[in-house]
Amino acid sequence: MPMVEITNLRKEYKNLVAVKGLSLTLEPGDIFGFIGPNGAGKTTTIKMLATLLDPTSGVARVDGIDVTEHPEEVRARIGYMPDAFGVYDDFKVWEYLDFFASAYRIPRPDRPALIDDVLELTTLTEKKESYVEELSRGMKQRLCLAKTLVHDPKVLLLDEPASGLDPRARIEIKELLKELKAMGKTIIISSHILPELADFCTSVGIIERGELIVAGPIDAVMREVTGGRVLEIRVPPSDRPKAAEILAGVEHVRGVKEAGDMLRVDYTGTLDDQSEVLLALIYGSVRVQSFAEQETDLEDIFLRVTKGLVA
Amino acid sequence: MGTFIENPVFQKELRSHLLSRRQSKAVRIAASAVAAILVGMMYYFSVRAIVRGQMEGRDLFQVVAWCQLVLIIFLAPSLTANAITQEREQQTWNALLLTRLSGDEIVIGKLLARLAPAVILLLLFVPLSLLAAVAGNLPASALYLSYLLLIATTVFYGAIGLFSSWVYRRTSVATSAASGVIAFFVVGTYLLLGLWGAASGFMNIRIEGFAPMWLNPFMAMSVALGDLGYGSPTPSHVPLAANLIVCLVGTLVLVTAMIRRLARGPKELEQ
Repeated sequence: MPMVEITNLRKEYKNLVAVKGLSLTLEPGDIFGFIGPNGAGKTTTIKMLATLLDPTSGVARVDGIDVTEHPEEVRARIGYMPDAFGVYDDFKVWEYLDFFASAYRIPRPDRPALIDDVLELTTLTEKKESYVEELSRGMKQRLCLAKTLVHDPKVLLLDEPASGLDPRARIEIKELLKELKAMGKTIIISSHILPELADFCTSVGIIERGELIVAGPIDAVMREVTGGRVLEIRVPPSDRPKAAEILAGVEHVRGVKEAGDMLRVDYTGTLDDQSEVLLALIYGSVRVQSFAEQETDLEDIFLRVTKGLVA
Repeated sequence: MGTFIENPVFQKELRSHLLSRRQSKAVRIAASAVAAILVGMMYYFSVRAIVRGQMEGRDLFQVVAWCQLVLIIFLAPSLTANAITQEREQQTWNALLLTRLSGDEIVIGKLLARLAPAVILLLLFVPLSLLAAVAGNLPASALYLSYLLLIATTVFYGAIGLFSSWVYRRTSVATSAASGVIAFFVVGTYLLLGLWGAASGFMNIRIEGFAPMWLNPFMAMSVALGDLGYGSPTPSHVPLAANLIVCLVGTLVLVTAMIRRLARGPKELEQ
């Protein structure tokens, strides 16, 4: 059974359609990166899954339970971390977690060990006796994540968990998310830090103006979007016109562009066919200085797919 | 009772607002010492006035009752009017509603914990009222009716503050709205009485028969103390009974409305 199943989800406000017929299925243990510009509908979708908003139409299920029909049961299964969150500043770190543990009906005798566990997971053990107001922003972010874990949710909904953090704090959050991935949690994470998502997401979805433009495993999305590979070839400037002419005649080459001192070749052939490109250049007496397949990252994909439009 | 004391919201509110640790220990000790001295002086001078015959027990009882009522009118709504807006403003409200806490745990926990300072204030005056009642040889009804009214007013006005805090998103608006409603009970009813009197040519005015005045806490306190033969003794207990019923029903309606909507979880205000 899918852990998260969204079918034709739609959310309308008065004069605005925030989410248009979004469909998505995640299996247990999937880490789904939700990518999109501001106002694209990521937060609205996550809020509907978190039972914070009612969908206008469509169905969303978490662990097989409809978020609209049985929100209380869904809440027991999710941990939601909003992009903007607050904390009770006058509590000690352990008291803050103890409050939420009791609010989630964790029996009193079980709480100390549980709190120690989540503090260790979020590397806040040393801050156990500190007041929340004394924590840095990165620590508060980790504390908020610790709070979402106290009831051991199956699904984590993390809305921009690394926003506003310095590079070190981002790395710490990233490491924490990898730990959660190892624990088998199903995670939906929205973020603008695209390369970091690529490190641990099993699948991604790009949303713009409320529509999920493309979704699936990262490799598949990249293939779907780029339609092939980009080869970067360095040749001496004097050989470039000849090289471009030769490349234009090679099978599966869709286009050739000069980019700085490189030639960028849009290639749709397979990995095995790729050597034909190099052979053609060598047989044509082009002095090839370097030949490499360009790494296409999520940022490229995002820029290709989205048009910078918001709903 | 044990379950109630273990209500996480009740405990959190008490910890944050009654036992706040933002103040240093020194400040807390100093504040407690000043409060203890003030209360001690109040008791000392009151007892001395009675012993020396400068004041009768009846008079002291009345002064204490009116003072408590005025304090409660100002204190109760201000204690609760930011109970929920503050959570919204510091972005903790949704997190609270996403937990497994029930609506009644949240509403009743917040209401009672926030009113704790007002209850403590009333408790501080109880020995003095008892002393005055004994010295003045007053009927027991004066004591329990006045305290019944004070408690009912505290809870009702606290519920009005909490309701405003739930309906409005900003503390300033919630406080203004709660104060406005209570100002109507306290001052507005007198204005209505004046208008009614003017319309009837100030002939045959029976204040206790004018229903809007039943909302007025001062009117109700007058009736409670009327048994003492002071103030404006009224021949009927109707205004007091009506006021107590308004407090009881009003509290139940406001609290139930919040609990029922909170049962919808974080979408409690979504249409």
